Amino acid sequence: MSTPPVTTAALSYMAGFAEPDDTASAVGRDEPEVRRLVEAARAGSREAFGDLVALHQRVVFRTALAALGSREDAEDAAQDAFVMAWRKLTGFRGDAMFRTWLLTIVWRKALDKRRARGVWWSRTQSAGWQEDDAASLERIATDDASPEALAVASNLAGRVRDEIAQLSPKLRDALVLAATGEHSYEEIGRMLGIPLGTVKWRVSEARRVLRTKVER
Amino acid sequence: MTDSTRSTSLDEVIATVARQMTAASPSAELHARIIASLPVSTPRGGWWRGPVPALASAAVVVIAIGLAWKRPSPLPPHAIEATKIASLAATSISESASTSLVSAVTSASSTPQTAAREEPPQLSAAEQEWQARAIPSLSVPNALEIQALTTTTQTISEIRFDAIGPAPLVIPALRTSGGQ
Repeated sequence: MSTPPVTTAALSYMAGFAEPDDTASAVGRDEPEVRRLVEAARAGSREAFGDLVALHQRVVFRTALAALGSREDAEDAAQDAFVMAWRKLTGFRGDAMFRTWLLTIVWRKALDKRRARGVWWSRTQSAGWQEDDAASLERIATDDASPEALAVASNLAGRVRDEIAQLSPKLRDALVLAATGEHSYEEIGRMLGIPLGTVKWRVSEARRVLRTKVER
Repeated sequence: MTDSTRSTSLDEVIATVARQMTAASPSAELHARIIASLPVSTPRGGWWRGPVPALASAAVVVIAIGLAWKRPSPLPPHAIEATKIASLAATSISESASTSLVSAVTSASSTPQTAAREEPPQLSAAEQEWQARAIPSLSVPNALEIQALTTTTQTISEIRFDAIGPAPLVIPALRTSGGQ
């Protein structure tokens, strides 16, 4: 079975769900404002920590979502991560960015929740994606692309989703985290506790496996 | 559509679909939930960051210094006397082959009170001359803190040995069957 043609309009429509965020930053030093907030929070300022939550809650939520695939679970994991960060804030030495330290916490929380939940990740993901598919079909009518092309694109997207869900957790995690546009490869490596080269290999391998399966 | 174009398109689809998986924003009340769930207490460091380890470390240092500067305790009086007598006996005994140095030291140490009461032996002129040429008497450093040996003597009032007789050896008679 050959790959169905995908028009540019269909792709741009699909990409319209989430423009890649231009927030992927290297693992370096925090900005002065973040450092000031961290110092104030370490001194016990809940307001400063609230500002840190406001600054990072989206990336934390999306990171948890990449591991869990469920909004509710991702919000729970994000909440747990922020509470733990508040408790352990004095242990943050500033060697790494606060953001990276926080993302490491939320990733571990999300993995704990994923293990404890005991439900295979793909089930939840598939359920969530079906809702997305329904929403996408409603938008098709207003898109400039032909309904036929959009239907083909939607069908292909569904196949890709299913195949991503079938990937091994290691490949899937690396692929999804890289695709969020929120993280650099280096940051992903620190979150997952693997070298940079391993992150790149996993992302590349995940794409290769997906291409092979979808083109079959 | 060429293979390269198809592959590129497929890569774009994969990237887009993977991005969709996390293309969501947290609910509006997540921030309030997080702030409300924060514990009232301020962030605290681990126990190793508090004053406890500092106090413990200081205590260890003080104890170590105290042990390093500890003076050797003086020997008990009877041990000092025993040491003196043992040294004297060691020098005088060397001319007498009948008594060994070890036995003299042992006897002096084992009965310090008795030895302390004894007067030093009167030496003849020849003995004093010999002693002048002899090896200087031994000196026991206090740092060794040699304690006087104490011996306890136990007497056994009565020990009975019961004679153990050999068990009678019984050899059964061999049976002989008829004809053999």
